[in-house]
Amino acid sequence: MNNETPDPSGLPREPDEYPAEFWNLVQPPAVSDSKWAAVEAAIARRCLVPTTLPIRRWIGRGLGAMIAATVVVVVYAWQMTDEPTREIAKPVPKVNPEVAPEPRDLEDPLREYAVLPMARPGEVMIQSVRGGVSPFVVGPSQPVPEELTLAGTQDIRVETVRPAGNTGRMPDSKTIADTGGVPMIYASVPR
Amino acid sequence: MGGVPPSDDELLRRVAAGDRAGLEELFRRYRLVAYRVAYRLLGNEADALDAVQDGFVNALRNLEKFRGQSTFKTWLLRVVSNASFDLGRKRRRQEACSGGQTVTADCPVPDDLPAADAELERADLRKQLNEALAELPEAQRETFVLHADGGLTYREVADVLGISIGTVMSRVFYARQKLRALLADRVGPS
Repeated sequence: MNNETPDPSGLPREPDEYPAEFWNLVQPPAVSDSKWAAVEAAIARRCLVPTTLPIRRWIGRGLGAMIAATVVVVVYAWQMTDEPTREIAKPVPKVNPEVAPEPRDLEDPLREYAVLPMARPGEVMIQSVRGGVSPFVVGPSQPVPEELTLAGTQDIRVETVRPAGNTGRMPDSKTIADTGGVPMIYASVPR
Repeated sequence: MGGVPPSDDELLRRVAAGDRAGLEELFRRYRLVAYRVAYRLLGNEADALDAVQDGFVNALRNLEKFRGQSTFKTWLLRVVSNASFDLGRKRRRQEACSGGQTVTADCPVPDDLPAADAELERADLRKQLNEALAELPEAQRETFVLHADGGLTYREVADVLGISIGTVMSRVFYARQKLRALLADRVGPS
């Protein structure tokens, strides 16, 4: 039991209620040295700044660097040994693009002929047409009027054509004219 | 080896610098009083040692909170007391012990197996005192134990607990009255 010394505050001292003998009897059980050592070691482990921590840290970093270097070496070695079996894209040889030849002058089949302008309707006066003879006059009833209209592709539908060969004559063709009764004249264009 | 033993402040400086020998000396200096307080509050050796360990650790980790306000001993006992109550509450939340009771100061785990009649008698007395202490309200028990087992004066207990010295005296007085009644058949009048 605590033996209170005179309190500096001047308050009365509390007398002990129990004899020291009884209090000594009920003291907590003694703790073995090994248990004290374990507690002290645990406190040291939790409280003391580990002076070896930087060294451990450096060791850890060194080990980490060694492991990383080993991995790099292994990967590099694997790449080197695996080289023959791997398909490597071969470089595409540089080929000069083929240059098209200079355009040749196409032979003009009409170069020996003069280019004549087409006469317009007002520039041609038909004086007479033999009825039923010319296939180039369509639409009208005989006798034809003084003026004829030049037929277009929409007016004439060619059904059959029989080439004239080298006869110098016009090809024999069968045409159907749909001129709506308007007299027209058409001419075959040499091709 | 003679010489003046190092002061608490000197030991604390060495501990802060990572000196294991300084910690060992500081621990040897206060481990018994810390253990007595923890044991009275918890009722068994294993928990008391855990509380001592937690108390030392917390005290050393929070030295800035006590410097200049009290001695290391009063600071340590305050922290050990708190650690003991924390541990006691944790134990109360745990499952019942083998006898269907909870592992608390009310149901202390047997500390050791007494080998002789005298030791049996001592163990029985200790058990009765533990049970009687467990009957006290928490604040009353803490105040009484810090004074009776921690060896702190009324003034120191008042500083540690942050209460008036009159409250300390009142709590100790009523604690003794109740202990006397609980242990009447074992302890005669003074």
